[in-house]
Amino acid sequence: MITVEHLTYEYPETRALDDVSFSIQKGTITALVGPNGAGKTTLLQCLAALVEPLHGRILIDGTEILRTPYKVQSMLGYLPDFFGLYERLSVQQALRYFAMAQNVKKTTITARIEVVLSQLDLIEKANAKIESLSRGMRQRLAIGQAMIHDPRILLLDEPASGLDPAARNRLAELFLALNAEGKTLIVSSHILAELDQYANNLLILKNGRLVDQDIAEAETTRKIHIELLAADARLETFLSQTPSAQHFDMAVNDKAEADPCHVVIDFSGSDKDQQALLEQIIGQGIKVKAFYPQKTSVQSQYLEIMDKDQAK
Amino acid sequence: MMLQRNPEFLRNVWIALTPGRLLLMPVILTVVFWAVYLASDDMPSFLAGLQPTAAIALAILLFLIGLKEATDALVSEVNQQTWDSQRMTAIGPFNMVIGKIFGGAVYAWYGAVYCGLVMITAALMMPDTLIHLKQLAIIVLSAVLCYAASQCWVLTNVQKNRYRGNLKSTSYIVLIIAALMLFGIIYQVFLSQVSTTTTIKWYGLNPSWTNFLLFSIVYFLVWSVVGFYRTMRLEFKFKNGPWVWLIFLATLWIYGGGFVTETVLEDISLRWLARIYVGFGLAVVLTYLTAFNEPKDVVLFRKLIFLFQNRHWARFQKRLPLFLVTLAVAVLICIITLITSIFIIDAVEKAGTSPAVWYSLAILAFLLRDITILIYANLRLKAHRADVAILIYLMMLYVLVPLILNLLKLEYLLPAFVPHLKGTLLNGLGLVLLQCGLVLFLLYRRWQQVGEATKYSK
Repeated sequence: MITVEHLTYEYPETRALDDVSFSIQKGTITALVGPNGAGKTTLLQCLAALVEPLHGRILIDGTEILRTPYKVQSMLGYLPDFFGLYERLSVQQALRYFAMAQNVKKTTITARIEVVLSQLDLIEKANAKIESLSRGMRQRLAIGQAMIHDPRILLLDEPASGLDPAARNRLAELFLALNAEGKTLIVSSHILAELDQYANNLLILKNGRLVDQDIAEAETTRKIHIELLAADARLETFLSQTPSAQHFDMAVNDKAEADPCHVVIDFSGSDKDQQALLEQIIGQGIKVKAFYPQKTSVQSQYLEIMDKDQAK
Repeated sequence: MMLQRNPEFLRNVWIALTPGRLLLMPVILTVVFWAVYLASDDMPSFLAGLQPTAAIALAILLFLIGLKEATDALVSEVNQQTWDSQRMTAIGPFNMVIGKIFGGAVYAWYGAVYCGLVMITAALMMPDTLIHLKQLAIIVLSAVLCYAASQCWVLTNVQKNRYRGNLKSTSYIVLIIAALMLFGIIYQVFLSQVSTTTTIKWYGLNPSWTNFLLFSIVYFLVWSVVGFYRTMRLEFKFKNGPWVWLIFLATLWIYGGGFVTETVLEDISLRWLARIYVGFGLAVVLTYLTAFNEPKDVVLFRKLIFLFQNRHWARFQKRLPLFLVTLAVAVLICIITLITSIFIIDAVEKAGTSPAVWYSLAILAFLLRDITILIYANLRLKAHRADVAILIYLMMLYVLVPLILNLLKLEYLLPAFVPHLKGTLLNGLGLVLLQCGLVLFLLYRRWQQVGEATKYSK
């Protein structure tokens, strides 16, 4: 869906992006994280075709965005980090303006505005002047403006900044709903815990560079929990002969004792390999009660990767 | 896209044309026109008073109120951070230009429509109807010209100062244009009779002042709208090549050359030589104007070098800043002036060793020196106010230094610091080229320093 090749962007004072390459699959929610000044905002601006890189290519659905930015921008919705709103317009007028500006069909504009107002929980404020809105409502309206033309890709720079926990939760639900509709989202945020709620892909920038691909790939090694109805020695034998199960051990229960019915393995393989592993274990006649990958938070992944990068 | 379907225009209508304001404008204008009626003895004197009153009201609305609104509209888009959202829309550069010209000052245009209708009605009931209608056209078209030119200027400033914080007020533009407004009013009210009888000479033609003014306004209006559109294209990440700018330079040369007529220079050869000098002068002035107005940061030059080294010629020519294109044109015309002066024109050939032959070359050397200084200053990593600093520096160099040299009785050094007809090959050209060499060396050093600094900031 999105392919970035050797992207380099410079400001007069600094190189903001340095030979960045990655690709993002359709229908994912990518968390774009990194320390301040890592180049997150610049990357999003490049993806939105708002700034032109020194060199490198960005392809969206196979189209190079700098060759035909207007064509690609119709597929994109972008919420800048610091956004402005037309204070003297009403919420509905602002959405109507952006719908018209994005060439939404005249006959469908009203219906589309209603959908967006409903998704963003702003129906009651449709006729309110923007200057009278709270911070959270303004944030939601800005997102509404970015998605009024129903773009396939949403680029959101710090969308939850300044929102209270309840509003953040609603925002996360909205992102998941949009993702369920097949939209691809790239969300830059400092609040890593919030990204846990919806992100299923991680992109880490540091000093304008994507954190080492080797490290990122190492993250494909995940912990898988296997809970049995009763302890079974055949499991240990089987796992010791399975190359993708790099390491395994008994889990520790509440009483700090090793639990023979609960085994945790370090698994390196694809989702298909994971499915095959489960089938093989069951095929051995081992009575499996539960089989699940351990969810690693974005925060812990981020910190772990950054530590490894630091150590290199 | 029609104006009523232009989203940018409509957005401005929603904001500016509130019911209260819609009512206020015609009420105030009607009261003004009613006062003229009360002060008149009969219908002819009422019409004679109404016409200039409506013209002045129109000029005040369009220039004093409208111009500020139009330019501030663009500045506030940037300062209030709504500009990036607009750039992401599918409006496109042309509709955005139309939306900004007519939408940014929609309230002034609303009043202008009323004044215009009054002027047309009065003109139809008065003798010299055509002259009055031309006056109306001059005010309206010059307003559009001023809006497009000032907004184009603001937009190039946006590009120059991108991501460096807020744009400053555009009051300086309003001041410049206010002078045009005063001229328009004075012209309309006091000089209209003179201007219809006075003719001017342009090539072999003798058009009336009014007709020529109208022609000139239309000429510059077309190019200012084209300029605004091309600048807007860059905001929407379209690429511009240098060709349209080159066509503008050529037409401006033709326009300016028309003022060198047989009454100015009788000899046809010298007249054509003078017209070539007009082209050279225009190219020099426009090089300075574009150089001060366009971005000149280190990233631009890195990009150009990257495209050049990798032989991306199409992208390279599209990236070239206009001041470099205009500089190249100035160099070309300078060569033409030299060749023409030395080999073609008999009258000048005799004076082949005269310092005047080197005059255009000396001007070109000064231009090269100044542009190099300007680039040198802008290559600093934080060159926020480099252009203003260099403007002051150059003013000192061209005014203070000659003054001091005069006081010290060192007049023979004057041609080294200011273009001088008495300059010789040594003091008029050699010393300026020496300065060029020095600033080029400094520029090279700074380029290396900046490269090192950026490397360490990764």
